[in-house]
Formats: sequence, C-alpha cells, structure tokens
Amino acid sequence: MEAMRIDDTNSVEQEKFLETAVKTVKAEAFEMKRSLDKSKRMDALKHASIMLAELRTGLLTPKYYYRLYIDVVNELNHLESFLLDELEKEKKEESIAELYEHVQYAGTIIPRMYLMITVGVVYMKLMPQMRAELLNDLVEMSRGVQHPLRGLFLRHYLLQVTKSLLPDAAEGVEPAIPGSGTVRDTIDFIKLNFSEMNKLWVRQQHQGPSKEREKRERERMELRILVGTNLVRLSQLEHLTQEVYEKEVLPSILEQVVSCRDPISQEYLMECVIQVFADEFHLATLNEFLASCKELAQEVHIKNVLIALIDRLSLYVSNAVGSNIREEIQLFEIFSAQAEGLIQSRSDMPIEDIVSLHTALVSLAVKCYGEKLAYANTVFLSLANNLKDKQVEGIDMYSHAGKELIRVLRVPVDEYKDVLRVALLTDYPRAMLPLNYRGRCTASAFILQNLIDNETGLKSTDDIDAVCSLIECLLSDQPDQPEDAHDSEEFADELNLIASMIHLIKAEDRDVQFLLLNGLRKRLGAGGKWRIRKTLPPIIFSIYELALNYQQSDGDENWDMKVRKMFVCAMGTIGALITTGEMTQLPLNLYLEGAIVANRIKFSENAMVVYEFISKALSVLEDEIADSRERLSALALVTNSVLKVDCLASENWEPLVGQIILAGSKMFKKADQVRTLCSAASLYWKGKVAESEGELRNGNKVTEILKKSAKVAAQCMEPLVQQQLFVHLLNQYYYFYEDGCTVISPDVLSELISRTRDAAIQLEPSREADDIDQHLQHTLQHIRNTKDKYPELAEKLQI
Amino acid sequence: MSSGPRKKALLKVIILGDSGVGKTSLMNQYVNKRFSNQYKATIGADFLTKDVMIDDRLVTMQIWDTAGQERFQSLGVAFYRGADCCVLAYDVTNSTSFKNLDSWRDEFLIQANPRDPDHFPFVLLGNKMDLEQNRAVSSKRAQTWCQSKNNIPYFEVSAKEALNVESAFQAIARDALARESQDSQDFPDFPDQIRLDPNQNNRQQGGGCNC
Repeated sequence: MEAMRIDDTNSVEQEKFLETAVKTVKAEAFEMKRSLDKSKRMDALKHASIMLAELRTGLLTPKYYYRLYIDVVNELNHLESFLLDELEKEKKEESIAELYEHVQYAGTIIPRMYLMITVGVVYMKLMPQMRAELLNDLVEMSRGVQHPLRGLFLRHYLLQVTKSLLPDAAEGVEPAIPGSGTVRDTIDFIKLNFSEMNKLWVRQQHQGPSKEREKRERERMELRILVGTNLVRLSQLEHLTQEVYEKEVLPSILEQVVSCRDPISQEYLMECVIQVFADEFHLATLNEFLASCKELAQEVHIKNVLIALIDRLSLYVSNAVGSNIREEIQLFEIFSAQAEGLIQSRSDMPIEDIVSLHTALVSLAVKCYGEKLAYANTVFLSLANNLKDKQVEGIDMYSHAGKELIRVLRVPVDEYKDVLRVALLTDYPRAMLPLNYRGRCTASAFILQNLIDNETGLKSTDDIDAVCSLIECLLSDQPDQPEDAHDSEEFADELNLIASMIHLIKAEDRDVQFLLLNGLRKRLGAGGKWRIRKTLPPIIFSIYELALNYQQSDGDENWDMKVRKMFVCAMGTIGALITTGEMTQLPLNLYLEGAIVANRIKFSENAMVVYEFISKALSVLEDEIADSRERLSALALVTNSVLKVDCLASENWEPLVGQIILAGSKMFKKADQVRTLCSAASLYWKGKVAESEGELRNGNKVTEILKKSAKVAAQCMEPLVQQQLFVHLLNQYYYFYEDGCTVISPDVLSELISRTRDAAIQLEPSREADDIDQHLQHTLQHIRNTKDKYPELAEKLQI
Repeated sequence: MSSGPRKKALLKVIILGDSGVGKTSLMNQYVNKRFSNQYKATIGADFLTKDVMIDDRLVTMQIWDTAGQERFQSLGVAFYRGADCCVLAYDVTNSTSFKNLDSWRDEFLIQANPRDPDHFPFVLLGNKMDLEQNRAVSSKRAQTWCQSKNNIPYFEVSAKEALNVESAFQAIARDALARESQDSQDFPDFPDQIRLDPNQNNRQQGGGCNC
C-alpha cells in the first residue's frame, strides 16, 4: 500500500517533469524548423542544441526519459532529413565537413554528441568513403558521456541512426566504394559500443544509496533493451558468417558477459544472445555457450537461460524437415546432462525451477525425439527422483511448483494425442505423486479428457490397465483424500469422464469386449459408494448393448452360456448399486431394462432371466421404496415392463402379476390403489405369456380387478376425489368395452354414468370440480360420438 | 503549419502484431528486398527508412518494427508517439494472432493517444499467404473485422514470396501522408501559444451554444 502510494506520487511528479521538458522540446523544435525553412542553418542548430539540452535532465526515471528521448529523436530525424536534402543540393564537400566540425563547438557534451551523430549520419550518407572513419570517431567520442542513463541513450541513438549505414561488405574483398568499410569495421564498432554500454549499465548498479537497490535494479531491467540493441545489430549483419561468429563474435560477447560479474547483465545478455542470433549459430556453438553458463554468478537464474535455449532449439529442430541435425548433435543428451548438473550444483534451486527445467527437456524429447520414448521417460524418472530427494509431497496445484508440475505432465499428453502412448512412459505416474489429491485428480482428468477428445479406442486388457495406471486416484479412495471430496463439482466431473471412457471400450471381438467390461467393472466396483453410483450404470448399459449385439449364436456352441453370463454380471453389478451404492430407483430401472433386453434375445434361459430381473425389481420396490409417490411411479414402471415381455410361462407370469396387484392394493392412499389396480387390469388384457399366441384378453380377470377398484373408490370419503376416481373408472371400463371386452355389460356403464352425473351436481362449485366435470363431459361426448357402433348401449343410455 | 520549402515529408509508420507473424520480414522485404527463413526475435523497437514517391511528392517512410513479445519492451512503447499510420500484422495460418488484433489496436490507441482515434489510419496485413494450405483465418473473416473498424484497408501479403508487399506499403504511405498533412490535429506538436490560423481559434472558442 505504502509502496504504491509512493509510486503514484512519483508518477505524478514524473509526468510534471516530463511535461515541462517536452514543452521546451516542442518550442525549440518549432523554432528549429522555422529557421531551417528560412535557410538559417546556424540558428537552427542553436535551437536544436537548446532542445537537446533537455536530455541532460537528471530528474526523469528511465521510462520517462525514454518518452522525452523519443520526442527529441523524432525532431532530430527531421533535422537530419532536411540537412541531407540541402547539402545534397549544394554539392560542396567542404560544407558537410565544416558542419561536422562546427557542431563540435556546442557548449555541453550531450547536445554536442547528439548533433555530431546527427550531422555525422548526413556526412556518411553524402560521403560513403568516410563511413568507417566517422563511425570510429563517433563511438570513441561518445566515451565523453559517462553518466549511465544518458550514456546508454546516447549510444542507443548512435546505433539507431547508423543502422542502414553500417558497412556490411564481405571481409577481405575491396568494397565498391574505397574506404566505405567492411563488416569488420562494423563488428569492431559494435563490439566497442557494446562493451561501453555494458560497463555503463553495470556501473549503474553501484551508484546511489544502498537502500534504493530495489528501485535501481528495476530501472536497470528497464534499460536492458538499450544494451541488447548492440547484439541485435550484430545479428542483422548479412556478412557476419558463422565462422566469424564462432571464432570471434560470440567469444568476445561471452567474455564480456562473464567478466562483468553482474547477475542482471549476465542473465539478460545470455538470453538476448539466444533470442537474436540464428539457430544454426547456436547449434554450432552449443558447447561454448553452455560452458560459459557455468561461469555465471550464483544469483543468475540459469534455468531461464537454459530453458530459453532448449525451447528455441526444439522448435527449430522439430521444424527442420529432413535434416540430420537430430542425429549430428546429441541435443537431448547434452541438455539433460546440463540440467542435471545445474540442479546438483545449486542445492537451493526452487522446486518450480527444477520442474520447469524438466518441462523444457520433456518438450525437447517429445517434439524432436518423438520415437524415442526412453528419452521422455528418463526425464520423468529424473523429475520424480529429484522431487523425492527434496522430500516434497502434497504439492498444491495452484502453487508455482504445482502449476509447473501440471504443465510438464501435460506435455506428452498434448503432444502425443494418444494416452496409450503416454502410458508407455512407465515412470510418468511417479511424477504425478508429489501432487496432492486434487492435483493428481486434475492431472488424471486431463488425461481422460484427451482420451475422449481423441476417441482413443481401448481394445485390450492391456489398454485398460494402461489407462487405469494413469488415473489411479480417480478409481478408488486415496489416503490423502479429504472427507468431503465427493461433494465437489470436480469429483462429479471426473466421474463423468470415467463414464465417457467406458464408451471407448471397443474390442474387435465380442467375447473380449465382455472380458474388458467385466474387468473394468471389478476395478470400478472397488471405488466406493460415491464413485460406483456414477461409474457402474454405464458398465451395465454397455453390457446390455453388447448382449443385444449377441442376438445370434453364429454357430458358437457356448452362446447360451455366454449371454447368460452377461446377465448374471449385470445383475450382480446392479446388486452392488443397491447394497454399496445405497440406491433404489436407478437399480430398479436397470433391472427392468435388463428384463426387456433379455426378453428380446432368444437364448435358452431368457425366461428365467426375465423373471429374475422383474422379481428383483419388485423386491426393491417392496424392501427399499417407502415414499408413496416413488412407489406409485415404480409400480407403473414394473407394470409397463411386464406388458412388454412375452417369454414368461403363465406359471411365472402369474406370481409376478399377483405381486403387482398385491402391491397395488397395499398402496397407502385409496386413490393410488384405484389407479394402480386399473393399470394392473390391463395386464390381463394386453399382457402376453409364452404358451399362447397374442394378448391374453381375459375379460373376467379384467372386470374382477375393475370391480375391486370400484369398491375401493366407493370407500373414498372425499367427494371430489371419489368423483375423480369414478370418472377414471368410467374411462377404463369404456376402454375395455370398446376394445371388445364382452364381459362388461351396458348396465355397468349406464350405472357408472348415472352415478357420476348425479355426483357432479352435488359437488360444491370449485376449480377442481370444474376440471373433473369437464373430464366427465369429454368422456360422455366420446361415448355419444361412438354410439352408432354400440346400439345396445345407446338404447340403454337413451342417447 | 507553415508548408514552406520543406518539400520532403517524413512519415512515421509503426508495425504491430504478435510475435512470429513476420513484422521484421515484411519490413525487410519492403525496404531491402530480402527475405530470410531464419527466425531472430526482435527486441525493443527498430526502424528502417525508405524514400518513396507518392504522386509527385517525395516521402521518407520511417518504418518502426517492434517486438511482439511484451517482455522485450522493457522501456514501454513511447515510440508509438508521433506515428502517422499504424500497420497491424497477423499470420493467416495462426488464428490467435488474428484474435489479438483488437488488443494491439486498442493498445496503440491508448498509448499513442491520437486526437480523433476513430479516424486514425490503420492498415491490416495478413502475412504468409503463400502457406495457403495451412490457412486458419479466411479473407472474409479478416475483411469483416476491417469493416467493423471503420473500413481499415486490408492486404493479404507474403514477405517470403514478395507478394503484395510493395502495393500494401504504397497504400500505407498514402494513408500516412493524408494524415501527416493534418499532423497538428493528430498530435499536439506545437506550443499552445502559437496560433497561426485565426479561424481555428474561432472555431475552438465558438464551438458550443449557451444552453
């Protein structure tokens, strides 16, 4: 908070200083241009000099000084452009020489040097033969500015405006214009400028009070690109050959970097070398570069340097199509040895740094040596061992180290896009272990997600084992798992992923498919209450699906036995959902689904299986479901399922239906009894048994049950409910009557109609009464509409 | 501005876009007619100049190439100041580089702070059109984006094959020149007390009504 306020007041103050300086710059620049327009060159230079004096300020921090510098440089560009135009027209050699000499009389060194450089550039453009000499002159004269900030910017200006003038002719060949210099002159020029700039930059560290060290380091970090520009210039030289780079340029840069002993400078310049020079150069000088890394100060984060180099070269090598670089240079061996050496030599290296070094190595291994799984595996082994040595465990995935660990684990998953291939990295799971429970689950989850996204088919027990080895923490309770782990959204999401994984089991053979499902069922079955609720149902559905695909024996003499085994397996799995999973509704549905599936497959014991499944569903209803609403809907489901099966013999069918009727008449509410009995009545009408063709159409049984319902309805004390039930009964009766149930007489219908009509008049007016009456009117209308078909009934009812 | 004998215009053009889209290559192709497959990261900002004739006017284009990676701009982006045109570049084979165009444009407008930002000249270049088989951003999509930004001119180019680079930069120079002639309105170049044009004074003072 305190620090922020200081920063804020500082920036307000800085803006003010900058504004004042910029105002002068603008005013003087305006005067300068006006003088130029009037061809008063000396006046123009005088205004330029006053403008440039603003750059002598000691008030501005680097970022604000840079803004001022940019404005000034914009104006100097105009001056340069104008002078060049003018002098080109004059075509007098001595004018430019005179001008170059004239500006050296400027009173103070900052304006003098900027003007010398500006005029020097014009000079070089007019007289290319002077280039080498002038460049040397300017870089030497700039030594006069020893203030770090001002010196750095001045020399940056020198680098910027001479960019297109730097001699770049091949060495040893006489350039087109004698004296215009070769790449050699430029190398010397930049080497000198670079070493001077680095000295200024390093010296800045040691100026001012020690309590401002942090601020100073921040400012130095801001200024680094000015120093780096030297390296950029070198990298832009067309005739800087690999040989010269190898023999001279790089050694001299490295010497400068190592000998300055300044951590900020060392770390930045090493990274800068990696970024600006070409990949081929790096490959040619790998050993020299890495050797220098060892000589850097202890404070340097060498891992940043190493990672930058590995990342860059892996990108290059993986893109270099058809090249032999991979074979020629043992990149992986070199870098893994370097990384290991680094970790061993720096015992205080933070965990996240150790991990991120491995991330770079894994990337190199999988991107450039994809076929050598041993490489990637070695890295994970080394990572696991390093973390074990450091005795770290329970890493939070949102900590620095945790994020890095997740990142390294993702690399082969994202790169291979084949989880089965990841599983071949046998030491990979060991690298997951240092993460805490949630972290490991997250890693396993993205592995599963990748499996699903890429639709990686699981075809053998080995495949399943391979995947399971990577998702261990999702399959069963873990020692470090929090008590309420199952309450989280992540837990549910992860189980959904497992459910999706089950659909990826695609063996080529049906027998194997069953083997795989059954095998996975056993693993998942050990997952405990919360997991199996989500993971076992898809297994059961997959078994049903497989069974349906197994409709024909195809000459397999064990077919009957195999199909039966599937249902036994499904039944046992559903049982686990009830006992361990403590579920009711879903197991009941699964039993019924199983009965319907079994009914469709004509294997020898299908009737037995159907009976077993429906009776188990009824047991669940009896033993486990207490809530009357749930019982009602469960009973409706059972009834519907029994209607759909046709393979049961009456001796088995009867007890099931009897049980349904019994359950119906035991319903707690009278109204529920009436409704379930009415539904059960249809079993005797539409139901089918094995012995007889077609529907049962047992009118006596139907009327018997309907009568029983009517009796229950009559016992109902609430007039509204009773009326509702009788209207329902009327509909049921008429339905069977219409469908040809001759046991129902017109008398019964007529009696029901008059009973409901009378009751309707006696009902107290209400919305419910209106609704019931409307239902009755619709029913009567329907009967009227169909009266022609039933003359006997029409007469009886006199309609 | 007094438009006396200063015949040669100096135009400042800034190229922005994600790292690796080919900003340096585009500039090198245009200025030096050279292309290299070697990747070298740009750090900081650097410019090249090139003299061109626009109609009958000689113009010096100062083209600023910039680092696409923020960490290579440790001193900030003060060099946006005084720009006459901003060239946004993306890689047609990299949809992320296209998605980031909005933030580059916004960043430029915030940092350069031109007057009348709605009409500041931008040009969009879709580089690497030679890699048609890897295209990830359709011309249509890029054009739609340009239309939504006040009809930014759009060019598909290849720095490698030197396709359309010349004509794109010609258009850039033209836009920048049109802008430069009203320089003083874009960036407050001159001290406040100097008002050479009395009309402008009047306009500024008599701008509003009294209600």
